[in-house]
Amino acid sequence: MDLSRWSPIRLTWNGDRAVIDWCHTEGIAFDDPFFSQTVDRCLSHPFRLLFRQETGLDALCLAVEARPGLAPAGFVFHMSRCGSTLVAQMLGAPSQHLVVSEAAPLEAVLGGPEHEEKLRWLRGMVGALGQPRDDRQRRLFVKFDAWSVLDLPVIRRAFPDVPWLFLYRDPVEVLVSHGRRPGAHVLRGALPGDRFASAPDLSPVEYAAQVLASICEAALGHRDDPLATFVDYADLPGFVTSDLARAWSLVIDDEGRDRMTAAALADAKNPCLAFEPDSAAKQGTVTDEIRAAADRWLVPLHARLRQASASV
Amino acid sequence: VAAEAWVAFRRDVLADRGLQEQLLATSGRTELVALVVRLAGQRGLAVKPDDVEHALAEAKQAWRGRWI
Repeated sequence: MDLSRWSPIRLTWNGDRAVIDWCHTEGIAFDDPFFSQTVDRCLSHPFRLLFRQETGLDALCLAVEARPGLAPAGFVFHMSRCGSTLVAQMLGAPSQHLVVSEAAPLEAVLGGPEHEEKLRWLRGMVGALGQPRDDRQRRLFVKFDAWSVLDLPVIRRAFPDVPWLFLYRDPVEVLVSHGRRPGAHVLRGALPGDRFASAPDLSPVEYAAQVLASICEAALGHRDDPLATFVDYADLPGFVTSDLARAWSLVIDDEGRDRMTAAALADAKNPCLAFEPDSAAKQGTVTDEIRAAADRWLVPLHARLRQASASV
Repeated sequence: VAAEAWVAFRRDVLADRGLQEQLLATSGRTELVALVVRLAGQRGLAVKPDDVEHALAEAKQAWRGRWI
């Protein structure tokens, strides 16, 4: 089976058996803010919608052994609503870079059953998603879903040499954002195999704060990892082209740097629009409940995250 | 029989990069359906426009309903 022009767009589990849905993606740049948007764009062509194929994980791993994808140059983890899409868009701006952003098939591998082959599957999925989209691309960056930081131990075992960052933001602003438009991970039971323990009497705001606290705790558990970088939203976008480029040994030419700067001027989730700072607006709409939940669950962690940033 | 023809043609396409490129070069649904019928016919496979339209509708529905 020739999978060289195809990409995995979905993975479902039937017990221990994975079913991977492949889409013909030749000629498609992975330059949307999220992988799911790229998939939707692909499937808007009737050929790509109609002619798909399915394999298991062994076929995926064999395909990647034959055609290894780009070597990962950095992983992006985050607490959500904290500038991670901006970082991904900036990292993906130079023509030598490919970013895979919150790809559902990757999350499905991480969230799948425990298995002795899991590291191989994870490397295989990253390799399959990280096939260069054109001849110029040399580096791959992977932005994970916010909750994937809970899987950091297995990701680090699979990719022990890949540097990673964790992005965070003033927790009040993150909670305000989720209050307006909740992410799946802060909605009880919305994630497959709900990965966050919860008490039944929590309010939505308290639940969101606890989930975000679990995510931040998971990242802080690896603060001594020499390949970790902790990044405050307040330090974006300049941090990416300066400190992060240094930490990740990224050689970026002038054109690439210009493209990264241009990406930072756009709204990351809707690049047709210009970026507008929203911290003041978010701080202006904080409710007492959000403030209390942030104080109880997240403010101490935020302080520890800032210490982790400062210690680098 | 029509369904068998469609399945056989689909298998041919997945195994043939040239066919994939021809079909990918189509600019829209109507053109794709016509080309599928013509290419299948050249292989002796009696695929009808309705077969392709039905398969397209099913694929679209399955993708939209993937979270349900």
